[in-house]
Amino acid sequence: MGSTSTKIKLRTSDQKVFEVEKAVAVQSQTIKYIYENGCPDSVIHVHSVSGDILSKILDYCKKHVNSAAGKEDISPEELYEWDANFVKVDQNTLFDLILAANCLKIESLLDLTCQTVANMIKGKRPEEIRTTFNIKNDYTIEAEEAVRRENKWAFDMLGGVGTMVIEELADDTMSKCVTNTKSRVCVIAANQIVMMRSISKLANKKSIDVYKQPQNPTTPRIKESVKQRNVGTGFIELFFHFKCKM
Amino acid sequence: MATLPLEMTIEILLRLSVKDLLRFKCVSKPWCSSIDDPDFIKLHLSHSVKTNTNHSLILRHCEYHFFSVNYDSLKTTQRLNHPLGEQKTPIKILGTCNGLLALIDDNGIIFLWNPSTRKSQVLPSTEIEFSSPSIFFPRSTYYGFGYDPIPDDYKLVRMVQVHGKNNSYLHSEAKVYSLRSNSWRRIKDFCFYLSFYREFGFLADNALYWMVLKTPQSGNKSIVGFDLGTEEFRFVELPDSCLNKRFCMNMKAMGGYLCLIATYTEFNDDVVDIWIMKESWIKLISWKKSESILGFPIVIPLAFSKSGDKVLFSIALHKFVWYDLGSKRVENVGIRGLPSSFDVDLYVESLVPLMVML
Repeated sequence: MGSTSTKIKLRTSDQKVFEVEKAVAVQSQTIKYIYENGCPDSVIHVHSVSGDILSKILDYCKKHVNSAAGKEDISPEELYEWDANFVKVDQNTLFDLILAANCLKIESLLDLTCQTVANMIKGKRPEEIRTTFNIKNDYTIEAEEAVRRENKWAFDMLGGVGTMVIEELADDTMSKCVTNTKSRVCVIAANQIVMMRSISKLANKKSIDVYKQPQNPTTPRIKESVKQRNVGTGFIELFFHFKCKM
Repeated sequence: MATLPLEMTIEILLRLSVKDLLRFKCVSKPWCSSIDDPDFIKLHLSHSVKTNTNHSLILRHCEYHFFSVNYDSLKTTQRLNHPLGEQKTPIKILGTCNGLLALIDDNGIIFLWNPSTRKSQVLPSTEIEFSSPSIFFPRSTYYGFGYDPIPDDYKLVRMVQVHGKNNSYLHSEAKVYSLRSNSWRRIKDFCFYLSFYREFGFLADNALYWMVLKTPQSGNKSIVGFDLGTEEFRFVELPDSCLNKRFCMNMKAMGGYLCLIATYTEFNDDVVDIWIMKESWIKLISWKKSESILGFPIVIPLAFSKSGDKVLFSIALHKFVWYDLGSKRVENVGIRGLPSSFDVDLYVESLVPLMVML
């Protein structure tokens, strides 16, 4: 199979030249197209990719080509772990990899890198997203408040300081959340606040199983049980089970 | 600090849950427009369907209590507040499509509901165009809910048949509701026999399916399909081996395919066969009571696993199991907070909006 030992030359934006096997380089649909429609001996310019990034990308392509061709003895689980380690880079590099994977049209790498960023931002608040992506908040205070209000339930139970509200308590409710010990939890049933507690107090108990005596006969009584576990760096996962008596 | 152009951000947003996306509308105005954009909504939906993520089970307990279970993790339940809110009237799920649920109450009032965005819409009612006072005659009403990709419209079908004496029928009419125009219109009458009081159709492959009778005398069930695009009916033949009258048959939609559950007795053993319709009928599973550790309660297939090698079943309306298609082994699924009994459907969490008008 003579074609697999063909080499292709790639020149990056910072004038570095890489010589790679054709099978590795054509993992990029862009390079494949240029190679098949241009002059096979000339150097292909990848203008928008720097040497460092291309070097990493070629490592990725080589690993995947070798594993698919059986040249390397690596199980799907091991490849998955290799991929997970591959994306353990600083954010700038990760973003550069996304841009390069898009420009070079390497679908599996684009999928891997985008999924990595998606996993990073799951459950975050808008302020944190703006910092991560360096985005300017172009809302007025009123406009942002209006958008927030429209979907306010989507803001419940996030990691962060503040009051976490558990609403819409009906007779049997289970909910789980991750929060830090500086937060408070506020439970609302039938439009009345039935419990306000700081998380640190809950966090010290293994489980609480008590019917609260209502001050007012119309206040619903709740029986709560809380289980907690540490999920690292000051955050705990709380699992609530409420039984409500109206 | 690095910045990503908006089109790359879209690639990332595609992979997020609806709850995250609704929150991220607050990040900036361009992000808000991107998330609201109908093309993004479709891309997000098709990515969820393709990767089998963002799916949830919806459980209906005791007439009007709804719970959802995240299909990716299958660990805990979460209570859902349905649009009728405080009203404690019995509601059923008529159909689900692309993240929209169609709900119907005992009075025939229909709601569309997206539990992921928590938006809902009541459908306008529509009359039965039959001159004689039809209240004196028994009638059958069959419904179905689906999507027509060409006009990008959600449609609800209602078939009504008023029965007369001696297995005859006095009146048949079919109407289609379009979400885009928020109105009903009558379509060509159908020519088969509806045997039950009320049935809901199953959506597979851009068509809705019901079990009907070709003629009232025949007694043999047939499957009729309604193409959501052409709005025409056609019959689908049952697998040959199911034509026996001794078979008790139920229909479902699973993994986008039409699915048939045939229960019968063979050589003194109870058997359940599960068929799915791809190009033609394929028998997916054959379960014998003697071999099954479950006894033989009601089994309802719900969905394939992400890798496609297992099927999730709801057993006797109160628990779930995975059935491995290769090893034929059954594995219990423990979900915290399951109500004691329930009806269940699978839906995909999507941003599909309601109140869409031309």
